[in-house]
Amino acid sequence: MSYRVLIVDDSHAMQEIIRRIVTISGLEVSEFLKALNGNAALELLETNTVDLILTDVNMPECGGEEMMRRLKMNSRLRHIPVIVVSTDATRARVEQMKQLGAQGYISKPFTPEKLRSVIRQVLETSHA
Amino acid sequence: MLEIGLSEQLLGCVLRECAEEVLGTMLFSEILGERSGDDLRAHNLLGATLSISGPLSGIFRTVVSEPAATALAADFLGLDETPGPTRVQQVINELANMICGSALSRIEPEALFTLGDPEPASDPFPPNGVFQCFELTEGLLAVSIEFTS
Repeated sequence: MSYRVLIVDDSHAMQEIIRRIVTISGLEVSEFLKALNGNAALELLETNTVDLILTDVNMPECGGEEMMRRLKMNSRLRHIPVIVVSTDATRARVEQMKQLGAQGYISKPFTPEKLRSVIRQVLETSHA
Repeated sequence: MLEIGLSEQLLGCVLRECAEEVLGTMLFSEILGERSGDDLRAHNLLGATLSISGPLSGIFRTVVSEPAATALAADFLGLDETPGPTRVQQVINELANMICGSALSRIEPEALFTLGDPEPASDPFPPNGVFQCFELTEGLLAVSIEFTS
């Protein structure tokens, strides 16, 4: 199976490293879509379908927390699995994002193995 | 408000641990040893400053000597060619984000913090706070954190 992956991060550099690591992890990706914040991501999702969202938390205009709230209120989008990729590794933040519906949480810095393992686990669970 | 329960020495150890973890995991670099902050004066520096807000407020800063910043950015982005200044600054911003986020999760794991957008910084010295300067293969990297409340 080939996946369409949306990367939401306000850092072009981090978007690029995530794309590169997902690619070398062996996950078959047909297309990467990228957005610089939650508003841009939700706008993209109006006209595109994706199988997985990888999102940062701290972003200008609309952060990961607000984006998750809006995703979960949308019946067309609420099923899309979301993995948070953030520098914020506090237990409070992890718990908050999971309560908002994130299926996985990866704190930066991360190894390619860690990213691959969480993505596979989330995709297997969501397609089971 | 929380009060930070770590001594300056322990906070310095946390900064070193976090810098080592970030450099080793995502930038394919390592700390070779500690250096005096005065050694930075001989270099052109690139850096990023982040504001910290939440139960603790403050400022986090990372500065890197220019050749080291360029080499780290190329490794981080997986480039064979030399990255331009914009991309180098983006990587330094992300480096600051990662070290700061990692440090805060060790200092106060139960708290919710917000980091401001990284702003370019070339002055390594905060008026107060904990400061650490490291030698890398490619040059120097310094980190500092100052809590104001």
